Amino acid sequence: MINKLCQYYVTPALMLALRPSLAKLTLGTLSEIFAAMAKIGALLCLIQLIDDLSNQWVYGAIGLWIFSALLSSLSSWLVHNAESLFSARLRRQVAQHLTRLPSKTLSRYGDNQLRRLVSEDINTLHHMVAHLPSEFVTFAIVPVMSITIMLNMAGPIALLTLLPGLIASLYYLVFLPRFAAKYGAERMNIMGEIVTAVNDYTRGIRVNRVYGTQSGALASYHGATQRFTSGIIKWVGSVALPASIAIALLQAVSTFAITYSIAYRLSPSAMASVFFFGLAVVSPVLKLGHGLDYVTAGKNAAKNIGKLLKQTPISCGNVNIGSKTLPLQASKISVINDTTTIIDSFTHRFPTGSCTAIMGPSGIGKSTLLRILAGQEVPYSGTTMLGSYELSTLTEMSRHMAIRYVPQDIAVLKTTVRQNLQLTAPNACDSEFFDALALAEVDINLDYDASLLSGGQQQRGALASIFLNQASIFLLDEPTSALDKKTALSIMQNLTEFAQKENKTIVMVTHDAELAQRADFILTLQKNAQLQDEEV
Amino acid sequence: MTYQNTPPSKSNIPARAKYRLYRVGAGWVLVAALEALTYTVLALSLVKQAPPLGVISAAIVAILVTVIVTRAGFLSGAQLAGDLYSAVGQSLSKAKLSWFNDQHRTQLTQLAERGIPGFMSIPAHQLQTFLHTPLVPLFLIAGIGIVGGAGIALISAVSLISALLLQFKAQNRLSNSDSERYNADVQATKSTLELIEHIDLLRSTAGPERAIERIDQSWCTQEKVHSRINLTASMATLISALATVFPLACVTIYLVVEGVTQPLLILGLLILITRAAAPLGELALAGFAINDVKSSIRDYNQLTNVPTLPEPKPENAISPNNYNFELNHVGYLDLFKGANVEIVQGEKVLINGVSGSGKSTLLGLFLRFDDPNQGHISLGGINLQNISYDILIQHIAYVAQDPIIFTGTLAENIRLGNPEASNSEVELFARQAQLSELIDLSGDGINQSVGQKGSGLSGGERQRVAIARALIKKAPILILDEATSALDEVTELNIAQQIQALGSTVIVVTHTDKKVWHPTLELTIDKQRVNVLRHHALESR
Repeated sequence: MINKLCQYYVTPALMLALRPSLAKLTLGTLSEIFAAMAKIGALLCLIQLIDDLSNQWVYGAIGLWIFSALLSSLSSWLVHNAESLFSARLRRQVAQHLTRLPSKTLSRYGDNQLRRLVSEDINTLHHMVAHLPSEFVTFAIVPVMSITIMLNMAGPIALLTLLPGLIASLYYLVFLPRFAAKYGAERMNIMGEIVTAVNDYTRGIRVNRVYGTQSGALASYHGATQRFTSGIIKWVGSVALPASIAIALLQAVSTFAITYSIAYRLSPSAMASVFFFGLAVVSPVLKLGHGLDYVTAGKNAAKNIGKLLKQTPISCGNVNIGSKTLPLQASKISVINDTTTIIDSFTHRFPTGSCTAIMGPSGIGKSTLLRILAGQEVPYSGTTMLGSYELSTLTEMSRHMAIRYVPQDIAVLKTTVRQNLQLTAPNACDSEFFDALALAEVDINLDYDASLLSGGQQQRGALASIFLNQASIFLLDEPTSALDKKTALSIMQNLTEFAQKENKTIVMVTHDAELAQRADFILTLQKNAQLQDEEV
Repeated sequence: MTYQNTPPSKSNIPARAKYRLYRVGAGWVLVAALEALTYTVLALSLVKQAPPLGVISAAIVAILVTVIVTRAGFLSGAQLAGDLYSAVGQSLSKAKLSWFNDQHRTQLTQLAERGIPGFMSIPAHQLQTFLHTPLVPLFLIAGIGIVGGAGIALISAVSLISALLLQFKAQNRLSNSDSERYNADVQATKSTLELIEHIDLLRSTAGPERAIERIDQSWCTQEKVHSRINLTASMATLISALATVFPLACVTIYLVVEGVTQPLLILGLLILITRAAAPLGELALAGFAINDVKSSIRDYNQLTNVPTLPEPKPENAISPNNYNFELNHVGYLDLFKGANVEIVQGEKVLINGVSGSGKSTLLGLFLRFDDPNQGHISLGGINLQNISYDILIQHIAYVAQDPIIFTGTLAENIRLGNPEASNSEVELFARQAQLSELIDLSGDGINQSVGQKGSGLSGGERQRVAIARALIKKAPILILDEATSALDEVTELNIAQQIQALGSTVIVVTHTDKKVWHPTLELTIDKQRVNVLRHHALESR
């Protein structure tokens, strides 16, 4: 049964995380089944008691109740434990996979979508897996046993008591899904819009403030919340009455009124069986009321996560080059954006112990080229070589150890300067950090919150991490864009000295001609993919 | 009961929303009374073996009222969410810029995503849980008294109360661990935002294996908390399961001990006590719900009580009639003080200073991102504090150091500067900002997508989009914070020339060649002082 459910809902990519939890899940389900059976047994004892008022039935009932409580507590622990181990494995798998995707694949996903994948989708799936075992008991085991007992004791007329539950179930199974399919997806989209709008508004608060409230993120927030409100009011307005009727029918009052009408002439014990087990359908339908949306939601979450895990990560091999210093070489690299060729068959060898500046007009593909050299982007064709090894044949650690890429966007984690530097060098001591910061021409307190530093200070903090790094190749995208000329030139000086002294290869994208003059080589990318090579 | 003390006294929940909540609450009390009445009529009929007419009519009334109250609950829930969303929107638009820190951002996201939708269930479900659920057993004790006499009513009352206490004890232990859960969840959300926002930084800096180290740490904490809670929760399940059957067991024992022999009386009493005990389990689970609601209300109140900059009353607000900026003894934190300068309409102003000296902060004061700690800034002779913010920003266009680009199309990003602009106008200004090449590259022209937060654009392209956005506003004052740092010299020069030709006041912070801007005035922040150097270009023109 569980295996079948897994096959149906859970793709092979998810099975990897689920499999170790299956045994516990099965055990949890079994305990739940026995707990339900014990509870029904206790009710049977009570029915016996009505006919034959003797102590043994009381003891029997109490014993069975205690047994049932113990089992369902055990089952709850088992299932939740198994499940949390599953989601712990899965979310790490997802996060790890995200960090291995090419930049282009990542940019196809929205921020909100990525966030959902790592958090909400996993939680939704967690919810589904954790609840399925007890649902199975509520929806299959208990109703079947209850109805059988009732039929045996009171005859077919007892089936009439199931009517209110069955009518209510029509609402949840037929009416609601038809509506929910239409409105549910719409509501999810609007919720996504609201969250994106809040994030966009707060992220771009400066721009948003200046460009007023009639447009931009705050306007889309107001738009989205208004659509949410009017959508939800419309939706509630159309389902509120049927939903309320269904809920009212599910109150024991409705069932009991019918039960009494059909059973008031039967024997006391037969009557008792209809009263005790007549709610057989109501409890599962009540659960329907709390929503089986989570099953659909869980299915969608599984689909989303499965799809992400299927995205091809940046390929890597198993060659380990250790700490060897090898020259970096681009060979016939082409980049095609949609249908336009951005870079056409770019071939170049970057000699070790030197600094190369890449120049060229904006949009020519300088940053893309740098990302390809860093192995964070996959070119349309062509290869990047490290010595005689193709970049894609190296292990990812080996690649990371050899190449350090500093992206264009100045970004720091919202934590101390020290912790930011520790990302690069987890084991370095404070004095090493100070030396590196000095080479990057900046003097900041290591305990300071990096996110509160000015743009220029943040950028120099990022540059400091270069001097902490053991890599042999450094790829820097606009490394001094936020710095004044004097500071930029003196950092440039430090970088070229560092390259020569430690035999490192530095490749930097810049648009600053004066800065580029300080490099050993200038490589100018031009339109129509011509390449101009110049030694300084 | 528990509900009344949840919203703190200075709650910002709108009054009409509160009124709706009270009305639905009263409805649930009535439903509880009618339900208990029906069960009691049922038990009495059983004992007397009466025809079912009485039971059926009582049931119909109870069902009808339930339908009406439930429906009202659903509708007011939806309205509540709408009211709360617009209150949060109000506060977002008013909050002072410095308030938007990381913690508040995370809280806002959570409130919008889960908090407010969660509030929707208050009238429909929570009120039912906290009013209807405890009242049904209470009313049923009276019913049991009528059917079976005072003795059994007393036993029922005592056993129900003990069961409830047991449930509360279990629930209490759960809610103690609940705040821990909430904190761990907030931390995990923060880490998730960090991972997604800085995925490039993390993987290029920490490498493929260590990139998720930080989120992994907060996940581990969260998992430990969840695992402790699981243990507490399964203990609570045990207690709750025992407590649910406890009253039934007590009444059964009492009946056997007392030697009640009437089968139908036994059945009637067992039905009543089962009904009275049934909601107790739900009450136990309410512990989770109440804590979520409580922390959401706390967040909501905090996020709608935000620090704002003083705005003039509409009747006191003055609109400037020229665009001369004047700084009078302006000081801000420990960055600079005593700044005095007049910027005449149409001047080109350059702000110099080493990194970290407060250039961007000074620009922000012109835009009133915050008020100076000392002195004041005026526009057209009017203190910025006396100009309503909406009016002030109509006159200023701004390009931030980080060219913030939103997911969407090129045109959408540019049109932020002037929502009324036509497509051809957007294209015109985009071309003025030297985006021609990008526009011509794609068949979609200005309607091409810029990718996730502009990731489809190069750094220089992003800056030019931000510049086009500022130009299209056609404002008399233009403030540029490192707006051209990623552009090549030719492009920068072209843009500077376009801007020169506008005749607006231009205030610029730049690290690159300042000559392209032909400054008439240079402000240099040096050792907490703002030095003024005037080139007499303006007069000579």
